[in-house]
Parts: sequence; C-alpha cells; structure tokens
Amino acid sequence: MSEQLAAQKRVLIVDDNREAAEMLQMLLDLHGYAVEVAHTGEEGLALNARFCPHVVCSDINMPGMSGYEFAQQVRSARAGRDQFLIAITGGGDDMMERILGAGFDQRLTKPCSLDDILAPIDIFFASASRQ
Amino acid sequence: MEWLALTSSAIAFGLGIGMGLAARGRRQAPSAEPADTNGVAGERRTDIVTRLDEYKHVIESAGIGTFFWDPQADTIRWSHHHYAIFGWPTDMPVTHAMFRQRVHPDDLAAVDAAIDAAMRKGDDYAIRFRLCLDDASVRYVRGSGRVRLDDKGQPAGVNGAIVDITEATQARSASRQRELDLASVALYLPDIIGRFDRDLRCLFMSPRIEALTGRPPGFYIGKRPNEFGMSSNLAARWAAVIEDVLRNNRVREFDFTQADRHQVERFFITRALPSLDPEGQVETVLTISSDHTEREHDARQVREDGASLQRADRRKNEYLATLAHELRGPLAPISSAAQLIRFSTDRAVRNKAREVIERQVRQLAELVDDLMEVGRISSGKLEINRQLVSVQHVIEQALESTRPLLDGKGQRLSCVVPDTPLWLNGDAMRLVQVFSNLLTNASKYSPPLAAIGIEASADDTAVMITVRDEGIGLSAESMATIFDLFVQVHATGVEAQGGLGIGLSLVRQLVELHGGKVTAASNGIGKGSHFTVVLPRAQHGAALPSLPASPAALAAAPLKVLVVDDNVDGATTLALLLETLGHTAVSAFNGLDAVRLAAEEPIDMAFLDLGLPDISGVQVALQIRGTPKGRKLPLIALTGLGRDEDRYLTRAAQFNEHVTKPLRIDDLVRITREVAERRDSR
Repeated sequence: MSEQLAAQKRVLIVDDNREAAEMLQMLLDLHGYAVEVAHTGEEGLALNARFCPHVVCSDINMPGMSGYEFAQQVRSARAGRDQFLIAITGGGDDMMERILGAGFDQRLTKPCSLDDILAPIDIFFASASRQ
Repeated sequence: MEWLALTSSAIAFGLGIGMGLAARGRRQAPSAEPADTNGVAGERRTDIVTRLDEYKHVIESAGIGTFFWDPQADTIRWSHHHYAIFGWPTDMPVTHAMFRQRVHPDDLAAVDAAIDAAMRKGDDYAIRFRLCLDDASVRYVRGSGRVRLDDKGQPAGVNGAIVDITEATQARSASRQRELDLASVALYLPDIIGRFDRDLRCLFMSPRIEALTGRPPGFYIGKRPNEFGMSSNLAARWAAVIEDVLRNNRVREFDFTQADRHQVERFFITRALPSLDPEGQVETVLTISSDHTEREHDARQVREDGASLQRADRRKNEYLATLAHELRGPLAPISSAAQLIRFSTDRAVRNKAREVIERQVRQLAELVDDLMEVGRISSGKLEINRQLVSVQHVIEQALESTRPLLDGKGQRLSCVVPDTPLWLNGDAMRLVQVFSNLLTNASKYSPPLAAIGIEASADDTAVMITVRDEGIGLSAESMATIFDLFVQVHATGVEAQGGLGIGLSLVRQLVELHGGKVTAASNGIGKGSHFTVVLPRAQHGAALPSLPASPAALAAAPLKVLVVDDNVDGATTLALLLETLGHTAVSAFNGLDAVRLAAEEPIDMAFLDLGLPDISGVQVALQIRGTPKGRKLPLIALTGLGRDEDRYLTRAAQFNEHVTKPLRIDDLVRITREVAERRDSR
C-alpha cells in the first residue's frame, strides 16, 4: 500500500447495487475518505485483504455470499477484530439480532442520509485516534 | 257356592249328556263296576268337586265371568264375576235382553250377528265389544260362548264367558296411538327415526330410510343392527349405543359416514333416546338420525377456504416485505446523489449524480406502476378494450420492446409465425404486455447467449403462441403456483433482478380476460421451460381473409383517414381495417359532419359514401374541394352500384377514385399505399 493511502482513513463499500455503491463512494470521497467498492461478498473479502479498510459498509441481501457470511469471514481474520463493520439494510427490524450476531457493529437502514453514515464513521475514527 | 252349583251344573250337564250317551251306547250291558257302588261313586264325586275347585281358582284369577243361558226358556245364570264386570249386584235376575241393553250401540249389531251365527250352526263364537255401564263408563270385553243344539237342531243352551280387557285395550290403543304419532312424525321429518326393543330388534323404521338405502321400512322391522346391511364396525357401534341407552337410561349421540344407494357418501349424526315404560324402566330406544352431509361439506369448505385465505395472507405479507425492500433500493442512490449535488462543486460529479437520480426515479416509477397493477389484479379491475388485432402485430411489438434486454445478454431469438394474419379480438397494448412479460422472463431466467424462441400457430378456433427458453426451468411443485400473485420463483445463483413478481399473474389475468388460457411446462430445473398462450380467434367473417400481415404491408407511413358512411357498421368496419393497417381513422355518418371534420382534422384522405342522409357524397366532395386544404385531398368515392352515371358524377366532383362496396382489402391496401407514397414524396 502506498504511503499516502496508508495514511488515509480507508472505507470499503460492499453492495451489489452499483449505483448505490458508486454514489456512496463519491459522497465519502468528498469527505476525505479513501473508498473502494466491491459488488459481491467474495470480491469484498479479496478487497478487504488487499485494501485493509478501517471501516466496512456492507449490504445484507446480495446474490451469492450474503452480508452475514461476509461479516463472519471478516471477523474471523486477525485484523478483523479491530475493524468497524456497518450493515446497510433495506429490511425489517427482526434482523437486528442476526446482524449483531454476524459480527456487525452497527446497522443503518436505507436510504441513509449523509449524516447517518458519516456520524458513526467519524466517531469511530475519532475514538480510534484517541487510542 | 252358587257359582259352584252353576259351574258344576254346567259341567254336570255336559258330563250327564256324555254319560247318558255313553249309557245309551252301552244299552243294557251288565255293569262292569264292582258292587260297592256307593264307595266308588263317592270317590268320583269327591274327585269332581276337587277338580271343580281347581277350575274355579283358575277362572277367578283370570278375571273371567261365566254364564249359562237357555235361549228357549230365556233363563240366564251368571257367575259372581260376570255380575262384577257389569257392575250389578250378584244374583240380580238377568235376561238376554238386559245383556243386550248394556252392549255399546255401535257394537250391538256385530254381537247379535256373532251369537245368531253360532246359534244356527251349534258353534262357538268369540267377539270383542264394548259395554256401556250404569255409571256411563265404557268397558272393553271379550265375550265367548259355545252353543249346544237339541236333537231338533234348536239351540238348547249356551255356555260362555266374558273377560274385561279394558286395561289391555287401553294400553294397546295408547301404544298404537304412540306408534301412529311416531309414524306421522317420521313421515314428515327429514330425519330418519327408528325404535329398538330390549333385544336390539327394530320395532319401527321411518319411511325415509327407503330414500337413503333403497330398502323399505319393512326390511328392518324385527332385525338387529348387524342385519341391516351396514359394515360390521358401524353395526357394532349402533348396537353398543343402543345397549348403553337401554342399560343406563341416558341420551347418547354419535356420528358416522355411510354411503347411500347411489354410492354417495353421506354424513350422519344420530341421537339415541330412552323410551320408558309406565314403571320408569327403559322399554325401547328411539334413534333419530340427521343427515349432516351438506353441513359437513360446507364446514369442510369453510375450513379449506380459511386455510387458503391464511396462506394467501401469509404470501401477501411476505410480499409486502419484499416490496418495501425493493422500493428502498432506488431510494438509497437517489439520496446519496442528492447529497452529492449539495456538497460537491465538481461538474462531473454533479452530472453523474443527476443521471443517477433520473435513472433511479424511472425505476421507482416502474415499481410503483407495477404496484398499481397489483392493486388492479387483486381487485379484479383490469379492463381491456377490444379491437381487431393480428397476432403477428402483437408479437412484433413485444419483440421490439424486449430486444434490448435480449441483445444485452447476447441471447439469440427465433421467431416463427405464419404469413397469413391470425386475427384476435383484443386489447393490443395488453396483449403486447403479455408477450413482453413472457419474453422478459425467458431472458431473465436464461444465461447469456441462450436461445429463446417464440412461435405462433392456429387451428379453426384458436391461436397458440409459445415462448420457449433454455433457462433455469421450473420444478413440478412451483408449476402450480407460479401464476399466483406475489409468488416469485427464486433460484440460487440468479441475480434477483428486482421487480415485484406480478408478471405472470398479470399475464394470466390478461389472457383470461381475453377468453384464453396460459400454461407453463418444463422438463425440470435447469432444463428450460415453455409458456403457451391459447387465445380464441376473432370470428369476423369473410371481411379480412387475405390481408397480408407482413411488416411490408403494414403502413410504414400512417395516414389519418376520414371515413364517411351513413351505415354505421360499414363505417366502423372500414375504420377498423384502416387502424389494423396502422392508420388512424375518424368517422362521420352524415355529409355535414364530414365537411366539418375535413376542415378541422389534419386528414390525409377521405372515403366518402355517396348516399348520405343530408347532403350527398358528391356535395361533400365539392365542398371539400372548395377549401384550400381540400383542393388536393385524395377523395375516394364508395358506392353500392358501379353505375356508369355514378362514375360520371364522381369524376365531375373530382374524386380521385370510385370504388364499389364492399371494399376489397387489396384495393384498400393499394389505395392507402398510393396516398402515403404521394404524400411523402411531396
């Protein structure tokens, strides 16, 4: 990883909806984050290993590997324990337990406003820098 | 001892006669008896007395009154009990007349007749009759007697008896009355009534049993349940219930199914009730069986409907969850894009964001449209407008709308349709929707580069269109429900491309609204599927036999045509034909309207019937020609007769052409094509 990239706050977005992912990427980029996008869980895992994001925002309903599986895999890696995982879902409330059980730290419901998504990320980075 | 005397005299009489006869028979034979006549005779006398005593006891305890009547002397001797039956004091002098006075007037004739007959023949008589006693009470009695004739053949004496049978008669008549009541109740009740005795034998069975089993009540009387022709299990249940009621004096209820004489299974509920004798013991068991078959069917139907409604409700709830999810999809990028526009000054970024919003909004709009369709489908409010439309036209439009999708996946399309048009009476837009849907599904559920086919064929009454694919296929179970609303067949590995799963349900509704049928078939998962739509052909008669339906004949350049004919059917048919060819038609049914429309509408040509109600077609033409717009307007005259003078007229009025009705299709195609060419070449 380049020095520049290593210094930045890195966010990985995993979502099969290309436009949604692209829009979010542009938004976060606007606020100074380095953002990569994957469209499937498998792609996401590969990117996660390479890009080493601090924060991962993942959709749940994806073809192939679901967001739950993806989160479990991320958590199972050594580095995974320190990462901040956000689930972005369009579904109902009963998923909360499952989301947390799979390893996510937080859950946001689509559509989320910029504040909705920036807040937890900012807070995470703020508290991380304090440590 | 008067009784004894009377009876003994009666018996002695008989004995005496007997002995006398015997004596006469023996003549003066030396007596064989021993000389000790007094001792033996004395023994015999004692013997007789003892026996008479015994008889007396028997008769007394039986409640029998006895009499001896000498009709010639008119003397009657009655026993004590006889007096008791008549309610008179013992030893009161009685005559036959007095006896007759007490006989019930309605029975007197029969009693006289019985006695007279016996008296004539020296015979026995026995008759039941009523007595009307002094206290105005009525007694039922049975009178009997034996008449003895003298050697002149005249009645010499009558020995007889009388018995009071009032109680027995009343009991019997009460019981008969009960039976009669039961019988009339049984006749009119729809339920089947039976009565069983302590031996489980049937005493009564209502006539309705015959309608059920084909056997009359008589078949059942005297039989036990196991002889009725029921299954042995059922007979055992009947027997057990009846015995329970007999033994425990309680009401029992049980149900069973039994096939009737037509082999239809019927469902019964039987109640068994104890019927008590005067002492309060269970004497018989009444059974009342109600046919609950219809109620049972209704109940079953209600249960099934309930279950089916619950299933539908569950599906709908799952569906609503999916819907919410689907709707949120486009909202996310729209929201992000909006915020990008707010925060970014980069033109490229903002353009991109704007594009995204437009695209996603379109998608949302489609979803909402689908949702509206769902509402219409659910409440059965889909409407179709019927017109004459060719299958070829419909398929062509459907292919056009789905081609981008197929091309995007590199899927090869094959289309096999006959050359001659196959006409349907239906809503063109909706029919196009049907086949677009089927083609879209075929594409969605097939891999890239797969082959997809659509073919149309017909027989005398129907048109068949089949859409074939080599995609993921259908399982046998899903076949039954894929046309249901809210059902989406998910297969792993296939990207769920969104949408609301209403496609096939819409297809089915639309096809059925057109009087047709759609079916799905597949050889299994991964083995492709094909959907066949059958639609009734338009019965339009000979009007459109040879209209070519290939795209070349379909108007490349649609015209707006004015059709004028006071015959509404004629005008409508011509208008329809023109529309089928791809033109727009506007109709007028009289001359003045024709002139007005020609002025107001941007028409490219007009067909004018010459015989109009207000002003003639020729007049209309002249007026149109008088306007700047109408000077060069192609006008075609339609007449019923190709008379020469008409041709002259039409030429004078500067009609471009004069054709005779009915207009041949070939002429129509030619004329419109010529007009189109002329117009477009200008």
